[in-house]
Amino acid sequence: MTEQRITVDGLSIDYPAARVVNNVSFTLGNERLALVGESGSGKSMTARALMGLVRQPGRVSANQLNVLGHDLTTLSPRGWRQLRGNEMAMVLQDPRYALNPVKNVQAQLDEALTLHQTLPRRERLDRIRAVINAVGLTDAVLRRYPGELSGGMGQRVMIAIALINNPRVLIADEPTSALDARLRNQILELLVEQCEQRQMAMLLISHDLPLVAQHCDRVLVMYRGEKVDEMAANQLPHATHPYTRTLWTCRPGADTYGQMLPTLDRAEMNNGAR
Amino acid sequence: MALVNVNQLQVRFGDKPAVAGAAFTLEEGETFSLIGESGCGKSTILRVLAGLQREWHGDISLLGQSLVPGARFTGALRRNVQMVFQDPWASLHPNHTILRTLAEPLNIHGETGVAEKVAVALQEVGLAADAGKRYPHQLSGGQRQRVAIARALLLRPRLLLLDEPTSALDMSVQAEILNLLNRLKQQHGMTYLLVSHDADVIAHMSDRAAFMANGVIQRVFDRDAMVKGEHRMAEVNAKR
Repeated sequence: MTEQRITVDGLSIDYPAARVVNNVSFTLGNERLALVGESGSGKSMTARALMGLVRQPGRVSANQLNVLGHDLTTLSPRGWRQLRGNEMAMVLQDPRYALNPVKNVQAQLDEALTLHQTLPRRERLDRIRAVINAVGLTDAVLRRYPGELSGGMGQRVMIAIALINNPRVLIADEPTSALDARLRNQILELLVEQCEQRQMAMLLISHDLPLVAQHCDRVLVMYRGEKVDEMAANQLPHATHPYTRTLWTCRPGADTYGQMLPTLDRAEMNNGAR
Repeated sequence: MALVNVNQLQVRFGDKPAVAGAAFTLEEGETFSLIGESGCGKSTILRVLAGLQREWHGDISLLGQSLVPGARFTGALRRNVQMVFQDPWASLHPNHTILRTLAEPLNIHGETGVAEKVAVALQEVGLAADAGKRYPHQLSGGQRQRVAIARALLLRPRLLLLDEPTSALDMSVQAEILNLLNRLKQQHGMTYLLVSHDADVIAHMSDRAAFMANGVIQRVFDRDAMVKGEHRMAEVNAKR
């Protein structure tokens, strides 16, 4: 962890009705960081702020918001366009909504490439073939449209689009929630493998702590817009924070048959955490 | 006597056979699960047993009554079989308050003391009493699924059909809903038929589980088999 690729200090996101992220700070080096919490905890909004995707009337404020040497609080629209999809890329939750339904896979990969580089056509095609093979798909997929892909294939295509410009930071926002249980591990393994090959840092967002903990170095836990816990992934069995403990142990399984699963005492949480 | 007895059940959608000769029995008081890939026909079986899918062939006896294809459920059967759907965003009427949604089954069956019964039901699933005044969009996904469960339980059914009740929910909320289902089952002595694609949820909830593929039940697992994780392997093998 020599260089910090993302530095977030005192990030807050306000909407007129409520503050959805409150004073969150963290850093990301060349590592994999999991951002975990239930829906409404502000984890996706944090990622969106890093990508400059918080829409009006939402307002982002921070003491420091730095990605790969760019100060995001003062970045121009032109600067954003150069950063997004190039040095920093994002994989979204559901390929059925995030891919363009009227363009085939090749056109969507080509678009990401031509926006950020000037390459001859033949070289672009080589890059496209290389990346689609890297995510475990064949060239035949290139001519298909998103509607002709299964959920797992669609997710692989989205990862390919994110990887094609060799980003140094990848933000994956619930990349496996729309998939069934068997595909989840495959996709996460693919992401980890690509991170290691490309020396890419990853911010992985999820509500399934045991699943992502296997694939990340560090874990950051959010609840109601605040960071409540931060620890190394291999220390999770010894977590002391009640919310982290609940997330860690609430997965059902054969050995929990006939028992009640641990759940969160929300009343206690609301008093204790503030 | 078995609560549900299904034999040679067939359902076709056009040329496509969705269920092709499925057979199983459900004993009173157990939790029986169907597991399988999407499109294997598990949800279709649930819809037949709920009386929503009325075009089918085969023999079904439900709570001691023989079902006739094409006929609507009447009388006690309509009370005694209830269903919870997968998506809490889609299964509640967006323009009705929770109170109105929950009062509807009671009014249909001519019950009295509707307001009190709704208040008790809300409390039972862990929602505040003032949730009745709210609309579905003012609730979170987990709260909405609780409303859907409360609605299914208001008429004190003997058989509850659960179609992926937690797959739209977060892990921590899923744990709360599964606990709720197990607690209510103990209190009211119901029988559950659960459909899920999550092998962990199946292993946690079920007394027995059946693996389905291509519209047929391929294998039934008991507790021992589930502890060994055999129901997981079946899925992998079927894919190959």
